[in-house]
Amino acid sequence: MKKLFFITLVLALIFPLHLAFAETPVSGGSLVVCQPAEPPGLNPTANTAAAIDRVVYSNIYEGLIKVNSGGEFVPGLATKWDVSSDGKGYTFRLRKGVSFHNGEPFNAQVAKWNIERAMAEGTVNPHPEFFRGIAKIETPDNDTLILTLKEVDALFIAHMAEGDAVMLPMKGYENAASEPIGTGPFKFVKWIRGDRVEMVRNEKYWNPKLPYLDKVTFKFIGDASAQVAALKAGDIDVIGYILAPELASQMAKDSRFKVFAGTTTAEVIMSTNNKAKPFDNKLVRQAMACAIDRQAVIELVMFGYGTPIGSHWSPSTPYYVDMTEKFPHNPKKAKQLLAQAGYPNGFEASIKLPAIYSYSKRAGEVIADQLGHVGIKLEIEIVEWGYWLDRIFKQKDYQLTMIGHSEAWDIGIYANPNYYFQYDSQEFRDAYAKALKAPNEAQKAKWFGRCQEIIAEDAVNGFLFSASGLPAMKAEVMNWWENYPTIALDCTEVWIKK
Amino acid sequence: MKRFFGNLNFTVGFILSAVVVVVAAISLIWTPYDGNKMNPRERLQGPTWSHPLGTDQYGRDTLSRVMTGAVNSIIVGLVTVAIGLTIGVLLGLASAYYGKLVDESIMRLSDLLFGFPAVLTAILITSILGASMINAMLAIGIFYIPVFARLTRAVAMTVWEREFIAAARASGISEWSITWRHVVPNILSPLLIQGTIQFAVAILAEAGLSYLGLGTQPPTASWGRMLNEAQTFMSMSSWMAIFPGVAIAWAVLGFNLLGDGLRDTLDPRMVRVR
Repeated sequence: MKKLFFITLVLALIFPLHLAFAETPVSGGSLVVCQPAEPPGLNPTANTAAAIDRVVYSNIYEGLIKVNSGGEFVPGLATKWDVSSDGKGYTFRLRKGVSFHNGEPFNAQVAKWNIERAMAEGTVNPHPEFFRGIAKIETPDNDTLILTLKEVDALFIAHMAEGDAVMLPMKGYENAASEPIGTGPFKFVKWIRGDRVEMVRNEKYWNPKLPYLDKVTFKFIGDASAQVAALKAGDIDVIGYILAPELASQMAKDSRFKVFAGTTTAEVIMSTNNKAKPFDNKLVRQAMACAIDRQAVIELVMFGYGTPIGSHWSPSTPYYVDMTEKFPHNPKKAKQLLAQAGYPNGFEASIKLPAIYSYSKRAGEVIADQLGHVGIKLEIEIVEWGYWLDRIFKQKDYQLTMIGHSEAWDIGIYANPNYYFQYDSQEFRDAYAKALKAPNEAQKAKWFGRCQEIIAEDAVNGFLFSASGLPAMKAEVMNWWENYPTIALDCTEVWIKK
Repeated sequence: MKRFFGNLNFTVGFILSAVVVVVAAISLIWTPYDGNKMNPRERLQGPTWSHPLGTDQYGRDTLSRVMTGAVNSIIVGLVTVAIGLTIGVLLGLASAYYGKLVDESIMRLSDLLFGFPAVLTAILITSILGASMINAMLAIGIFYIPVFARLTRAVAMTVWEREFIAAARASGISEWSITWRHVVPNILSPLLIQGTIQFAVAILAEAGLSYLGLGTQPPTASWGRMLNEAQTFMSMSSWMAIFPGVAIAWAVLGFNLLGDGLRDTLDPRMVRVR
């Protein structure tokens, strides 16, 4: 027996089996990726819609810094960056010899122009505040960019890695929304409205080994069953994220396909208008928090593919603090809180659910049932996506709604009293400001933790769960991201096994 | 009575529709479970003794939901036919009586409405007014107006030509009371036949709108919505789709046959044509 063990051990050492199994990527082939929502444009520096980033981030456009599949900040158009000792100065070394798809060179001047454009008065950038902390932009030579901030900003690198900070060419930027020109591994070919966006391999990509694929097509199919049918029929190769989780468990059983139950940065919440009666009363919001049974929601809405959250922070993001025990499921306490708030018999309210997302419609139905048990009667109204963006998100004309917030590091939205939650708390704004200025990791953890705690305690919204991405694909599609640490369907390193 | 039940179409149609009406009536007082109550532990079941038609993805009892869905369908049928009948008959009568410009304008407007396919018109109307059961009924009802207006005009015009009308006129009865006492009673049977058939069409149209998410809003049970929700669960629990589907087919077939049967018995000319 001992001898046998010894022989096995020797054999194992002689033949590095893992090398035999580690496959080398092969070049060539085309990939059809399906995502449910068609983007409203293809310029992430002009519109915040997640559907845009999913198509273009790291595929067509790149920023100075990228987020990789492990959620790390890695070099994009900057090969390295140094932070000064006071935490305010950032020196970026830019990649040499990079050109845009239209032939324009990328250099420090272009980077400066992009940043100035984003922070300018009247900018179209959806997040100018990411850039407005910059006091000075210097370009000592063509390959160096020095940014000096007014104050320490703990999220500066994270923000520079977002789609809002990708680099556009100085000449070819005007049609970016319909004909994007970037520096990425794929060149835009055409966009057939209502159907697909096509892109081909960028032969002059700065990394000569990448990409592996010759062609990538993003196809827009909104219906969950139609997506799965298209994958089974071979019309598409990848479903970016499955809409109906019940289909994921079936796909996973089929050996022709694989499904990843990875994490995402998305928090699904019951957004609450904190200025609308009776939700302006903190006790009412806390009562609702007690009435919600998150585990049942995840089971019924996501077929178990999700993690409960107690605040606006995904468990996959650093500095996460578990707040789910702040208001555990307790219908009795919910009724007491309602009585204290002056609604012993509950009340009626309306919840508007965007038709485009089935998780949102389902979660709305389940929550309506759960709140019904404590006397809060919700009337469900299903609304179109355009209506949602305009009436709810812009005009704040709603009481309750249900939506996934897909951006990472987005707790700052609670510091804006004009955001559609209409949450106004000086305490939160102070804590968030301290978090942003935190000089070290311990302080960052402390204040970002405090931010999560304040909104959990105030029960600003119904915090439900962080969804799994559930990408599904043909078994021969390799290197697809298992987790989605940022909003992207990055095809740079994806290859197809022959 | 014997005249009616001697007709096979009528008998089968009557039985099928009566079942729908009785089930709907029962559900107003009693259903096996609360059809809106979720029960995570019992979801996606096939038919069992405790849930004869199984349960849906939230563990709601399908039998109870199919039963309350019948109420929904009947309300839609009644309201839409009522809208179409009331306005359509008035317009049709006016058209037949006044003729000339009034007739022309009413009929050309009807043609215009007829130019659009029914469900497409309904989708258009519900997407403008917003998705709800009331708007869905309004949309279907509006489409029914020209259906009844045209029918009323056609039959009313032949009635106006009849000799007893001339007799009534000669005896000095006012035109108004001729319309109500002599014309309307003589056009009732075609209206009844058309009404029954449109009732079936309305059930189908509402199911279609609800399937598209434009009709009845959750959590109210509607057969069309139930079909929509069952879609992604087809390969796991096909029962969820089968029973609401059967319910729609049952009700539509029932009211259609009833309408056919009524036509055969009330409108002897049609029988001769066949």
